[in-house]
Amino acid sequence: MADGPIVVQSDRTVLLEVEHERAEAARRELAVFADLERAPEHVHTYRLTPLGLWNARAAGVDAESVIDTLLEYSRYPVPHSLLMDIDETMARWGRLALEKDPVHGLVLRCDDFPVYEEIARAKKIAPLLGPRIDPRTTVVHGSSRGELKQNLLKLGWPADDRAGYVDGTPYPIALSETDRRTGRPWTLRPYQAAAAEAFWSTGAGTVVLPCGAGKTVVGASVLASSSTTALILCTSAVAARQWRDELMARTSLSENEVGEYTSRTKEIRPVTIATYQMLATRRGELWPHLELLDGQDWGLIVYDEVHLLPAPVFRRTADIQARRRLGLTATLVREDGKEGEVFSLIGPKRYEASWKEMEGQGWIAPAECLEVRVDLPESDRLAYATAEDADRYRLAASSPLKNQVVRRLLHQHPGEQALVIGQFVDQLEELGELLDAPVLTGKTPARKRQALYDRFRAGEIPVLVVSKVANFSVDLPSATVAVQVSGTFGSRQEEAQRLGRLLRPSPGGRQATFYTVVARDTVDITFAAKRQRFLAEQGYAYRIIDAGNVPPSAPDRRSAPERESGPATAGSAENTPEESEEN
Amino acid sequence: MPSAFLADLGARTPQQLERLLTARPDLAAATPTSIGELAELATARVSLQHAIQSLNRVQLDSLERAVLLGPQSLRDDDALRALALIHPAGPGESGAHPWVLSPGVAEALGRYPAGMGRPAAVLRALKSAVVPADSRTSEGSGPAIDLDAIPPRPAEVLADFRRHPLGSIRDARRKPVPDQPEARPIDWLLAREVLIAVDSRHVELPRELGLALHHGDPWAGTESHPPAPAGRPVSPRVRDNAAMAAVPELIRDLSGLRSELGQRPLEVLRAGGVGVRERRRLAAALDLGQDRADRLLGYAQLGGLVEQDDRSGAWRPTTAPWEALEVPTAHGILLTAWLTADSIPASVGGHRADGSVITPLTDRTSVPDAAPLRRAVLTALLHSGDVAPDPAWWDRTLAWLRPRLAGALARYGAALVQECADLGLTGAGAATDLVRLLLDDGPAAVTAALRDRLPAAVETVVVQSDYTAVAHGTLSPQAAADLRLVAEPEGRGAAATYRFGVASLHRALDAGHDAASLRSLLEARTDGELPGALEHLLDEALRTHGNLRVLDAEQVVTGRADLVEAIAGSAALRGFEVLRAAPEVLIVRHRDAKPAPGARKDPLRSAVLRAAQQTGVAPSTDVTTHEMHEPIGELGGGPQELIGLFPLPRSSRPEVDAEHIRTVASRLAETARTDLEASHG
Repeated sequence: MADGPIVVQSDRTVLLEVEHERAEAARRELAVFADLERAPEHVHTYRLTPLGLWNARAAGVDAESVIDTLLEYSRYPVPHSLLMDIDETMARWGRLALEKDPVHGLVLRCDDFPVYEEIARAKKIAPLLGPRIDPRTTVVHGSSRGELKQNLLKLGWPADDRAGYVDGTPYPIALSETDRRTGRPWTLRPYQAAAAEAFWSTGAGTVVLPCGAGKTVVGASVLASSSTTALILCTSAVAARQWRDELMARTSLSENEVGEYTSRTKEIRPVTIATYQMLATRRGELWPHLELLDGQDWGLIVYDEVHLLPAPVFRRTADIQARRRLGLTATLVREDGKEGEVFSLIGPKRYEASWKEMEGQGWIAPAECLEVRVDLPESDRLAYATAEDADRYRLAASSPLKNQVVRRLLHQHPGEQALVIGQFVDQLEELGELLDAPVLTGKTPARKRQALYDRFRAGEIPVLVVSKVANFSVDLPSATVAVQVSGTFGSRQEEAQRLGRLLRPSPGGRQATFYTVVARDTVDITFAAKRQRFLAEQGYAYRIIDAGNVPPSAPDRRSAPERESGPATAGSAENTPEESEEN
Repeated sequence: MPSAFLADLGARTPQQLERLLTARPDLAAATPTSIGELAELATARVSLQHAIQSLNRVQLDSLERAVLLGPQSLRDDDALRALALIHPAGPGESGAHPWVLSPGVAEALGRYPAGMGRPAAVLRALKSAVVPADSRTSEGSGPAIDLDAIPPRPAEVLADFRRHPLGSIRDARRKPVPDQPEARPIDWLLAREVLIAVDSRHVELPRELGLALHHGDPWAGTESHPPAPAGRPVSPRVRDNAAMAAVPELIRDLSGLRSELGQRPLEVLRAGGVGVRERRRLAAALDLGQDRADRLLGYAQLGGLVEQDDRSGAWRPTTAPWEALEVPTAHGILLTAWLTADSIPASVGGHRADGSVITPLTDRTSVPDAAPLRRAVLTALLHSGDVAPDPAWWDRTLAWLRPRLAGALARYGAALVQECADLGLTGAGAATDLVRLLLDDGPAAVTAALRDRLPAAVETVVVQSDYTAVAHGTLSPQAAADLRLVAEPEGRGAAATYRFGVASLHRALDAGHDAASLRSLLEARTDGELPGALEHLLDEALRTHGNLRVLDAEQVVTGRADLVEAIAGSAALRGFEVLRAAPEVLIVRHRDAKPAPGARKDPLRSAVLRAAQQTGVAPSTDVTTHEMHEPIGELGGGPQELIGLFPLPRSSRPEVDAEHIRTVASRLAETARTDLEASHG
């Protein structure tokens, strides 16, 4: 004791001093049963939750070793009530088990009679239980598996799911040795291999990796391990196309083995990529495309950006608990607080890496975050002050004053490709005009979007003004500067995802710069503070600067330098080493 | 007063007298000036009862045996003699027995020593007074009854009298039917004076028969030693971890309680006491379980940390300098107060003997014998070995150690065991060495031990880019006060954590800091360099401080014209009278009746604050709280010197100062010596 790297708090958090010589050993042990909550530069915060403890128990770790770890690494005495609580919580695991019975199919077994009586009387659980075949065994319908597990978890009696998974239709898939786009050899990065391995050992779970760390590659690796037909769900048609390109480049799959199930094409192939939007499309009382989830004998379902899972897909996922499921995300925060449901329905967190750690190891680009504060002129302030509540954010966030600031900021980065990201179309169009840059919004047809992205990647466009359509899953590896002028109120994950657009390491190891321009003394500031919380907890420090301190740009040199440097950037992008290429 | 008793007291050395006065502090508290006075005090019934309460089974049996069987059974017993409950027989008394009971001891043991009734002769005299002559069946001492020859039904009835000699029947004065043992067993016994009526409703088993029922030895079943430890084994590592975690946690939680009550005093019910809703609110605010929060209220009360407001009756923190104390000292204050307190905080939620539910901060938590009960539990812990004893062990051990307190211990024992855990005297249920230190050397020794064992307080925090600050340990009182001023406390545990924000920095500026002093305070309290993020935050706080101010009373809003305009037009103020005194000043009034003064929440003020928040700017308000903003002076000295600053509730068994005892003892010995010399001379 006395000099350990962790402090176990009474409020169930564990503080880890990262500079401590035993910090790494403690971190490895903690990761097994505690959830990393915040990872700023000096002291990381983990939280002990029942879910985390049960996951550890499921992975074969008992309460004694958890308590031993805490006592071993703790600097100060650990509250005894907390230790007792850990013991009691972990003892709840496994009293109930879902098993496969040769005669009755899926059954719930419970040796503890009072526990069974408690759950059988619970309002939400009773309807999910079938006939009782003996005092300790109850039949459960296969389609209730997810819902039952979820409700049992809420009651505090997690079920040990030993019923296993269906195999799905076998289909041979292998990772290719060379990237077919470039012809260069590639291998999995160590953490990608570890994440795929951690997932595969259990068959259902979520992998959390920062933006730009190569989650798609983890998906491809799992696909190869599975070697079955697979369904991949992602957020947009553009993302679907990227998945398809990536799979074709890195695996043995060929063009006619990968199908896209989008509004444009509805191909069902051994590996099918669909969008959430498509699945969640509703016609009256029906969701015509949801059948895709269990209409085929998939051996694996991949949920990309799992934090965005829409409600109908959530519900249907509960019904397909017998299929292997992989969730991928960078930012498992939901403003609706449903992170827990992701874990219980898709599967517990199997692997997580901190952003700053990845940055330290060079897997993602180092980034500097700056908050640029703009003072609204008196006239704007009065307009803001007298506006209806509903319009205030819009007024503050889309102040025309910001436009000049954006121009001055971009001028600071000659030769770098930049994204200007915002929420309001009018504002984006003004910016596009001022910066002489193409504007890409939800209204832009998919074909044109793809073309704009392609041209940007090729370095033909120095500045791209985009709306929230570019928040996720859009790979623009050549961008190193982003300026955010407005956003979806206080969305933490949006902020992180937007920064994520810059984190694919650029060839010269150049630092990424992420600006967010906010109007002082307005709700804009409040929302900005809330948005920054996720990244701040990951260790990104926002520097606050005053817009008045940004050097003015000469109007005549407005966009010339960027244009000149465009091809140079494109050239280096082509030379990107395999490892750090988009994925 | 028998001269042998006086002679025994008079012959004691100052050390022996000191031991007597320490064991019976009520004698010392009365400050006797002569041996005669001491003897009077020592034979007073209440004092003797207190002394007898401190006896264990063997010692009590020895006294009871002397009462029942005569003084010849008495052996020299160091403890009994030290307590002046027995003394050597004087030359005038029969030389056959060297020891006799001190005056008043037999009476103080009660009417039924060892559960035996009064002698038959006494009972017969009583009977003749209550039972009409025509109901009597026999007179005088009848033939001795053969207990083995009693018919089965009466024998069954008699068996019930083995434990206690008194029984109640419908009409004790009736004329018994003497010869129907199966149909009327009680009558059969009454007719033969096996049971004797003592009043109209009660009968008693004479002492002689009671002894005979026990074959002359009612003490045969008692153990000569306390029960051996029984329970769950606890490793020293787990035990010490739990105990050392409990101490700072208790101090932290009590500080949290005071801070919370400072902001929101605990309202009392009209009928007295604190309502369930208020208690729940407190537990939720402290993020603690209800039972823990209730106990904290009890500790705070017995430690003089909270008091009732004279007017409203609401509970709020006292002015005692609790926050200025280091953990061991604060613990020492609490431990000292706890030892003698009348209240048992952990008894909340249980029932009193009269069936009423015990609620916190009422006199229902008070038990007159709380102090000896507490010592009994501590003494039991000395016998508990390396285990967390099970409840059965506690029952048996406490009954053996303090037979005269067994009833109260059965009721309150578990609560007191819980309190020992809260105070860190036990860990994971097993006794630590602090228990022995406390019993042998007093609370000061525990404080000294904790000073060595608890990690030293730290002066600085690590500040991070996400505006959080973490102290690697417990902050010193001054550092904690500084950080409370400039940042919001977050979380709960051994390491203090805080979060900086513009609002918290504004609070520091409101409290009189300026840019330079705030920066130097932050630099002094930061481990290493001030991170850039905090510098920027500070700049922003300085820039925006005072942009908008809401003052109390008739609500006045001042600030930048545009902001004031925003508030003037806010929907939140609909229904109130809004006056624009100047472009930068707004006055808001109630349209009609004002709320009663002292109302907990002023709707007008809430509306103004809501309107201000909607502008996106955090206003400065002149909130007055009991929070201490002034720097805390370092308080030197241990708990014994500082405890005077804490308004402890009165105790029925106050601790008597060791110094006082020593003075009284030496003075008594001195007087005894001079008296002796005078009589000889």
